Amino acid sequence: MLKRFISLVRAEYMFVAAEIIRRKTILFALILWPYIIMAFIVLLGSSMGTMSYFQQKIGANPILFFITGSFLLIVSLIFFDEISSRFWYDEFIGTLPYIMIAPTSKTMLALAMGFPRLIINILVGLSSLIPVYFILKSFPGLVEALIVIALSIFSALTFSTLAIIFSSLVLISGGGWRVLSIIRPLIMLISGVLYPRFLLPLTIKFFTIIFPLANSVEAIQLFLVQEGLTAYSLMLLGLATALALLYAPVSIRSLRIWEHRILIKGAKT
Amino acid sequence: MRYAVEAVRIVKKYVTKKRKGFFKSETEVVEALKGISFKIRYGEIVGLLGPNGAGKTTTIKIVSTLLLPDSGKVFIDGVEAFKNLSYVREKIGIMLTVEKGFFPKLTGRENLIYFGTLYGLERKLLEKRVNYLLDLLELKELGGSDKLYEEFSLGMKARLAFARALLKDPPIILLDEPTLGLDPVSARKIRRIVKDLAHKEGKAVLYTTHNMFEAEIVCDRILLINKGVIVSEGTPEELKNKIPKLKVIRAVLHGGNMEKLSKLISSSLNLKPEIKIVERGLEVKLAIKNPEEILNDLLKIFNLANVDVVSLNIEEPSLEDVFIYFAKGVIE
Repeated sequence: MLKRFISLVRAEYMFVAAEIIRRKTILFALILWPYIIMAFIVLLGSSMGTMSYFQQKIGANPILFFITGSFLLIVSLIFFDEISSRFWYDEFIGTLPYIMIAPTSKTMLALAMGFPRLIINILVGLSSLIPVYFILKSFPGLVEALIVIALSIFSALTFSTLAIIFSSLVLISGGGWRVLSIIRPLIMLISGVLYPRFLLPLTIKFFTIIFPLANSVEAIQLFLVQEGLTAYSLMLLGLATALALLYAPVSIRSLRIWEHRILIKGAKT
Repeated sequence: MRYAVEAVRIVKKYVTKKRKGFFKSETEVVEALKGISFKIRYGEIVGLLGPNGAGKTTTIKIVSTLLLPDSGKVFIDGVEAFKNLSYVREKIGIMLTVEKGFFPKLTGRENLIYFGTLYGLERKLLEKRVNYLLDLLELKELGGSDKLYEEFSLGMKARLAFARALLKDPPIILLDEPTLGLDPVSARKIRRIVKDLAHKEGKAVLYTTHNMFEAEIVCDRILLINKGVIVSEGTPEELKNKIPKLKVIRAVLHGGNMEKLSKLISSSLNLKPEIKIVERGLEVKLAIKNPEEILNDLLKIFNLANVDVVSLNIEEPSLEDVFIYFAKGVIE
């Protein structure tokens, strides 16, 4: 099973790499994206207060906080973005029937779809986070950057099962990009990546507890603020893992429902 | 006997919604298949012949487990298809459309490797198989092996789609209009391979087409489908014999008089000929069940009328005549 999964990841990697390398605009966007987001947030933030005010209020360097946040945002949403958009893209270009007919578990395939972009984004992380951490914090910053990258990968993985459920909802609805653009900002809001969890209203805060991504994101934010992993952060990471496992059977079921709907409707050719 | 494919009373309806104003919508039910049944043996090419909208693609999608029928059953290699999806999907190779269905930014080879992996082929075996198919379909020669799919011609796209259907070396191959819009060379290539696969390797092939000529030269047996119903089936010869249409003697003559000739034929053979003036002389058409029986008498009449025979043919009913006959039967 692992061998099969690895071969699927390899095949997906070939597809993703070709899409990125053979479409230059995507390659540039991928490299520049964390910087663009960070610049946007820092500029917007500067209009509301100084950088030192942010440091005083939050306890972390705003540049580090936001470049990490933007990286985290890209990495953690990979599974959701890839699965929802890939199957939709497959329907658009006519490859979906051939994918549906493959004697391969669609859940395994969905997970394999996220990994190549995750790997590529880790490389982007290495090229964007490490220089900034190194400039601002010297050598200890390098270690810190690597821990942040590792935690971001962890956060993406713990979100993968719930991401499959959300992706299935997008696919079942048949709304494609329109539904995706409604669900995506909601995930961003609840995850706490752009808007820290403790600032959210109590009712939404309650929802974030059952949201694995929100727990792992808070653990990363605490790591940045307190410059280390506390028992509370570890508890949050444990909670994220437990939730990911809890959602696993539901994610398999949700993809099967989508598959069944395709069977009734017939995959477009 | 275990059939490669067995379809039993398949019914499929499509429900579509039509907007009627902002809040109202009307549902429309289209019955694509009205309880069709058929069987395909190993080593046999069965053609599904019908006009656009007859239900050919719906049939092929149901047989390939891509579409759930409303009722009826499909057995693949003796196993009920929708209850054993994984087993059945291992047995089937499918080609649905010629012009799309691949990743535009991957080369021909990469696309085949991708789908081969998805179909569970081991890396080494897959590479060997991909090389073999690229050679077989002359895609290497045409440069399609390392060219991006988005740069492919229609002929190359068809060859690649056909190669994908054969990737797993499946015992059952389902081809939906595989030569549609292709150049004669590519079409002939695909037809020849299909025949070899069935007759030399014993594979079962379901081949949909609306091209009569193609159905006649490729298929061992033909199912005529129209408006979701199989209106007739048999070998091309059997189908031609099923219709009451007469054979036609067509002769082109040089010299002679049209009226005299007409009178002679009518009085001697008791047949009403159709005579018209053509570029090379006179064309005489006679519709008759057994033309061979009157051929000698007819030549004698031509001699008597003092005309030279430029050409003489006996025309049999075509598959097109068969199709029109059965299609009209359903409409009426």
